[in-house]
Amino acid sequence: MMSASIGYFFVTIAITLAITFWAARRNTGRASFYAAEGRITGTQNGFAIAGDYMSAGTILGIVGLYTLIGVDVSLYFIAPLGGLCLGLAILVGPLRRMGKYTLGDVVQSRLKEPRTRVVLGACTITISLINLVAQMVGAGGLISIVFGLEFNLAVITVGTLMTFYVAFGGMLAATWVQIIKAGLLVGAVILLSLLCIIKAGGLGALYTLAETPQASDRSLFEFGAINHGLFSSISLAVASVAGMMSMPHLLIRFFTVPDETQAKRSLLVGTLLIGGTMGLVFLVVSPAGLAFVTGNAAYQDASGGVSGGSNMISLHLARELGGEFFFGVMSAVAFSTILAVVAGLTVAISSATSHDIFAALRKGAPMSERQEVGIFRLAAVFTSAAAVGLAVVFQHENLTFLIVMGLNVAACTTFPLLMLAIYWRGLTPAGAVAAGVVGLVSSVGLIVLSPAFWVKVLGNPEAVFPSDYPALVCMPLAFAAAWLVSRFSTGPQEAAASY
Amino acid sequence: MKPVDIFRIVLVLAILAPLVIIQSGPGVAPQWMNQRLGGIPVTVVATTLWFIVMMSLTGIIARQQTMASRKDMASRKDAGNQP
Repeated sequence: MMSASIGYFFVTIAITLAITFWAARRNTGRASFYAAEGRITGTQNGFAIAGDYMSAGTILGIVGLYTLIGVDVSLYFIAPLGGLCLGLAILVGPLRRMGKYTLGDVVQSRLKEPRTRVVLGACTITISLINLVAQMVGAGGLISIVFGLEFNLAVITVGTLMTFYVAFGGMLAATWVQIIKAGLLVGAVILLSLLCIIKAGGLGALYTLAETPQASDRSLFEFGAINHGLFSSISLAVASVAGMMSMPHLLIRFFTVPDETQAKRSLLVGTLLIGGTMGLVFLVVSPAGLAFVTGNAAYQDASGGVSGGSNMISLHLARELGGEFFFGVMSAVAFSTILAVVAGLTVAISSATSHDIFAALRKGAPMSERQEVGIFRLAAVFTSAAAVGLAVVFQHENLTFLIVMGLNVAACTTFPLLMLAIYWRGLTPAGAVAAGVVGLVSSVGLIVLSPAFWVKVLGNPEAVFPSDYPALVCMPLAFAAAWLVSRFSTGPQEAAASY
Repeated sequence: MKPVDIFRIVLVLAILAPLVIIQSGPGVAPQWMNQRLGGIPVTVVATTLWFIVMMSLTGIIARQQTMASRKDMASRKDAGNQP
């Protein structure tokens, strides 16, 4: 088993490194590193967007979460789909017209003020770093289980590889790794779903089998098991919709296509791929996990839980249905998923650092293209080091909490900033800075005070803020801060309506 | 932002709202949702329908957006050709 998995592991690394060397030879400067020179087609970019969304945390995590909260897991992927749908309607077109390489370009093109760029850059780095840590924690756990590596060694391996991909291949390599991974993932999920239905003898029979191993008195096929309460449910939905519309690593993908029509096509292709794949995961793979893995003695550890944790259910399912060969393939797909997503997130952080923050702070002394690419590469190295360190610190954190935390911060920072910059002609630079700072400080602050952090991580007896999802409070606060400060400040207030 | 964009936002939120409410706690969803349809739980069928509606809406919006973009590009081209 192990030798087959390790073989697939090295094949995956060899393919992704070959893509990186190919991309490195084609990269000529800033436009290549940040946006693949806008040479990616709409369909290719759609695959890359789907790949960015369908991280290991999303696919493996959703199947694991299904065994705990059942059909309530649907909110975790239907609400983000709503975000993608609205993003297509109101954000992608103006974003592609106003931006060039980063989200900072979008706000800069409207407000002509470097400090707004710095704020948006800081928000991009915070959101992407939270997501990156989540992916690295998932990566460490997965690799250490599948390949028998120590957690620390596993995250160092992933960190080193992602530094190579981004520092040498830039956005072009990150995009092609993502496209290939998305294709593999979609194929693997379709095959796994077919095997599940064949083994069960039909979809109805699968659900009958899935009902059997549950020990709790409540069926996982009834709504309400998650029991969040109305405030948290609405706040989670708000964070999922608005956060999904404004995740920096997804939005910068729209700068890699030649025009607005291709950008819209790419989001359509991405949404269809995400919808189809996640639909199969929800409808077939997750209940099959309950039917064939949960309660199966072959996949239980000494404590009676699923061996390796609930995130491993999909991989156990692959072994149960397709033997060691399919287990190896699924493990390699999961590994390539992790590599591709961490590379995309590192590109988002590195480009925000070099193009938004460094460039804006060097007033009157513009950087040469060579210097900017140098800082991009250096930022990739530091990002990898920081992500490895933070992943080691947060290795016992809940993955879903970390990913939703990123969505919450995006909903309270980049979402109000982009919406106001595009659609509100009254926005001033000071108003934009206020929105960014209030959104960032309040969302991160309330997350620290939430039950998931204040009680579970810091060990306090009671949380200061009662919900894990602060978007319903912090997003209106950010909009209010922008409105209030813009009313009492001056600056370029022209032509937002034309977008 | 055009009125059609505001309509789209309201539509997406209106589609999501019932799903958010019925997941907020046990017993909030109507009893008939705990039945089965051809062996498949009604909750799963309902979620799949929600899913299909959201995907279809994305497809419709994408079609409208693509047509609008093409129209916009054509009108810009025409404006450029005028003396």
